[in-house]
Amino acid sequence: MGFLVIWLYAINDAVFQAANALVGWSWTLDALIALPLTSPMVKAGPIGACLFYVWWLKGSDTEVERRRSLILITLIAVFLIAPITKIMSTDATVPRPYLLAETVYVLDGGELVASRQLAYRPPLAGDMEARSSALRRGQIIPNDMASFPSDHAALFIALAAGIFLASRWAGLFALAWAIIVTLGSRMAVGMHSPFDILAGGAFGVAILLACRLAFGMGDRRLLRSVLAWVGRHEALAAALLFISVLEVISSMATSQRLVELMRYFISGAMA
Amino acid sequence: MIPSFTPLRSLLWLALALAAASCGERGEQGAVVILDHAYTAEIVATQDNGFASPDGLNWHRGMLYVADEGGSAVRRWTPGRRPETLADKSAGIASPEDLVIDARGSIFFTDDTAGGLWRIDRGGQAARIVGPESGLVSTEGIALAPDGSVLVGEAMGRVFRVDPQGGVSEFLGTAAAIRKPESIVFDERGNLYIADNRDDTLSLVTPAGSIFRLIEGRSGFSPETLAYADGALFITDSHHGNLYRYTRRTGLETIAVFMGDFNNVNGVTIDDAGAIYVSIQADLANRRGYLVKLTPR
Repeated sequence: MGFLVIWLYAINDAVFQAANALVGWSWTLDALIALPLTSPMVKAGPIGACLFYVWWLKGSDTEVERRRSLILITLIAVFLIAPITKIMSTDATVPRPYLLAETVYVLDGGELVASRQLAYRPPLAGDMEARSSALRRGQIIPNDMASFPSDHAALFIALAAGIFLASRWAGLFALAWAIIVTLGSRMAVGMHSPFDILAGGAFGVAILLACRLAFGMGDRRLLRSVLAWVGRHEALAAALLFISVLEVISSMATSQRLVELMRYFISGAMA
Repeated sequence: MIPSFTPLRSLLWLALALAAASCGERGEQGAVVILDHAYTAEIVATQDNGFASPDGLNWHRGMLYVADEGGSAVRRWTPGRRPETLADKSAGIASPEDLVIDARGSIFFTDDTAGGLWRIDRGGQAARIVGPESGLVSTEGIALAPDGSVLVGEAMGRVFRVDPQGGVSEFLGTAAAIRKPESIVFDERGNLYIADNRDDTLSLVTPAGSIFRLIEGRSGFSPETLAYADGALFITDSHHGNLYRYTRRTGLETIAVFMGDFNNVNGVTIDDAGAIYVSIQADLANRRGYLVKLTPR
């Protein structure tokens, strides 16, 4: 068992270092790799476009209903994933790979346990270049101690997998974009390790399948009611779909901000 | 009325499970990121070893003296043993803040709730030797001056000198523009360093009385406690969870970052072997804290 864990960590670290070896050579390349971290359009715009493509794709009534049902289930799943991964990741102290270049001790069973160290090349541009510089000044954002599992992996792998269930080619493209661009860039700059991404992705797919089981099989009355409503209010449904997809591709940033504001308001009201 | 759709019931169960997960008791989580790789870190004592929530620390002749703010006590600790309580609430102590020990072994300490300057004499008797009526209303930093007097920082921005006979005079008034002298310490040349954690500045008062602001307006810097050893100033920052080393030549260098429940890093002292002890107030109200030792490799 111990040997297996060491072996898995060795693979994890080797894959991480191969991805991280891409950065630190050229400012332009690093700025390009950093783009998906800051631009929702680059990060997940094409995945959102695939979702729209599948939603509007022509076909028989049965086929359109099947695809749209799967898209609705996928949207329910991704809106559930964000709060669940947030709860999970804040309960575990797992530093981001860029921090593992330093000596990190984590409180475990009343003792400080040293994390394994990892060689890391900081990028020359982008948010992670700024975070690496801030680290030298002792500035670390709390979220950088909660990298496991990757909520981005959970969100975008589930979204792409849902699209894949509805349409193979669009889904394959979405999965490729999620893995190479959305998540590959996060690994290259040291935000996530392969373990974080694999765990996040597996978690996202599990939630998607659970939602499919709950909504797509057995009693389908809820989905049928929603789809009937969509048929009666196509324009409004398209607008709501746009808003939902926009929120998803921006990694639920607005929802998270609203939750923070609500907490602030509640704690202020209680104080 | 809730429709009897199975999916809706599933959603309700999921929402309940999520609410339960988010409301559940969370264990303490903390981490220390060592940026100066010359050190290793370990927890040497916690609330389970007889401390509550420690603040000021002072290493003196092989023993660690602790102003245990959460426990309303001053304790003495030899590594590997249970701490010995030197004074507690029964003497009227409320929130001991920082402490120094003079050459004769008397312990002087401040108390930001009870106020005044306190002393535990060699016989173990604890008493307030200067009261709030002398202006020492909420006392913070404390330092032993080369002339044998004790300097005491007061929360409203003044620093008082208490001479060995108990006479009180103003060392620095409000004109010095120190807003809260949270911690003060002398170097071997008689320069006084002042950590102001309300104005987020580190100031220097020379023996001639000139005042310089060494660090001010630096983003992410709010000094809490100072310790001076081997030509360097060691500084904790409880607002940002940092431990720094400062010299005029190298400037401010980060030794370690304390995260999560370790963020509130308070006291700091250096032992004879160069190890750094820091106190962490994980939860002052619930009397939880840690003593962490950073040992040179």
